[in-house]
Amino acid sequence: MSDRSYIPGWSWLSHPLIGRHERRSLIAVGYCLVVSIATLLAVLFYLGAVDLIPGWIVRIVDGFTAVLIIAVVLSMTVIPTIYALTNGGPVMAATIGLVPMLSASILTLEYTLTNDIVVALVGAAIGTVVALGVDWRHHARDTEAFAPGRAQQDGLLFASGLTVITLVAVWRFDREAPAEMVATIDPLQWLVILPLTGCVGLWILVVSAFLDTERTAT
Amino acid sequence: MGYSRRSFLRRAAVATGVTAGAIVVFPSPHPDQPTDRPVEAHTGTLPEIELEEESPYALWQYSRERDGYNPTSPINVVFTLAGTDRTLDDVMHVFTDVGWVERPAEYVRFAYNAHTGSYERQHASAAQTFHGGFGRHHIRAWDFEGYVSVQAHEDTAATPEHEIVSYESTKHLIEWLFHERGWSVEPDGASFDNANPPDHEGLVTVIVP
Repeated sequence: MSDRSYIPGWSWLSHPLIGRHERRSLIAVGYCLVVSIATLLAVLFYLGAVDLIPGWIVRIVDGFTAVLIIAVVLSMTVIPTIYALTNGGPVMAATIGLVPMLSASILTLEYTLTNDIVVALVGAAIGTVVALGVDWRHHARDTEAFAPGRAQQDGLLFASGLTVITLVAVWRFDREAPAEMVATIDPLQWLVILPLTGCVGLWILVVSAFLDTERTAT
Repeated sequence: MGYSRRSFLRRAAVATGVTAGAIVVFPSPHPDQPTDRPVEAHTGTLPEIELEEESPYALWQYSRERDGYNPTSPINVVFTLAGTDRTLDDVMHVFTDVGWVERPAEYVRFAYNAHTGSYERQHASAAQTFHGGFGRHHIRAWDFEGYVSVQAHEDTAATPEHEIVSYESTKHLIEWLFHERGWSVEPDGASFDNANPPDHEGLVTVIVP
């Protein structure tokens, strides 16, 4: 991996928490921006800021809405993991999964734990842990040791935090949300077991590796 | 080693704090929804509305097609606000009170206003979630001079299009919401000539403040 940045001042694009390849990270940043702007446009269409009288404009707006909804469903489910497999980057993988929900919640002041948000959290958590694994594998290969560098430590803390938040969200949703709404995603929400297993496994490896070094040191 | 361990513990403490904070401020889900009906459905002879052109309410919502307007879903809940001090805003507040969003991502739909003889796009909307990626209850409303027509339905997950799971389930949910808030709810209180699959037989719930 090169230290040089294609864009001056944008070396953070190849930070291990964001991604390994600057261009792929840049595409991800662009994607998040497009989804946020598209959400803003959807809100503006609703507010009637755009004149919708001619039929051809109505059809374009409806087509736009359809594309936005498809993109959002993919963002909440598979895109974080696809990004993780191709570029690592736990924080960026989570951002891709959560950006549609976050931008909609901010723009409409939506503040409810819905089926969409639960799926997005689970999708983001899975992508984050996969990204951490990808990054860690490269790090271990580069350093010829399993011991985490600072970026892997931060990645593990981030992934663990997101996984715990997701676990609590799933648990509360399952207990408190209308049964009818829970049924719309059941049992998808329990895929939270995947990032949970990943995080617990990594913590066990990290702690035992640490204890090993302590033992050799003394 | 000692320094890096301290640094790690400090970052771990920050991560724990942020995680705990996020859990504390996390929103609650929607309140539970009864699946039965709050009031016995109307029996006996119903007021019937067959012609949209002669009705104070709309009968259908329409999509805008190349060759004009095409009916897509039936109006299944109406409010009579004319002669009262309530407005469409008061109706919409009942939905936002239980966590619905007022500006959901949705298609543009129209209803026929017989008072003016024109098609008008939805005056207000609300849905349980903004995107409706995995199914939601969703309504569009038109207020024609105090006669409010609502198209209420439950969407499927977007795969990729939203299909209708049910018209009846959302209608029953609305009956509960307004019954609990002291509005006068008459389930299936009118008969419109707008039966439509999967489960709307033309029976429209009438709600009055």
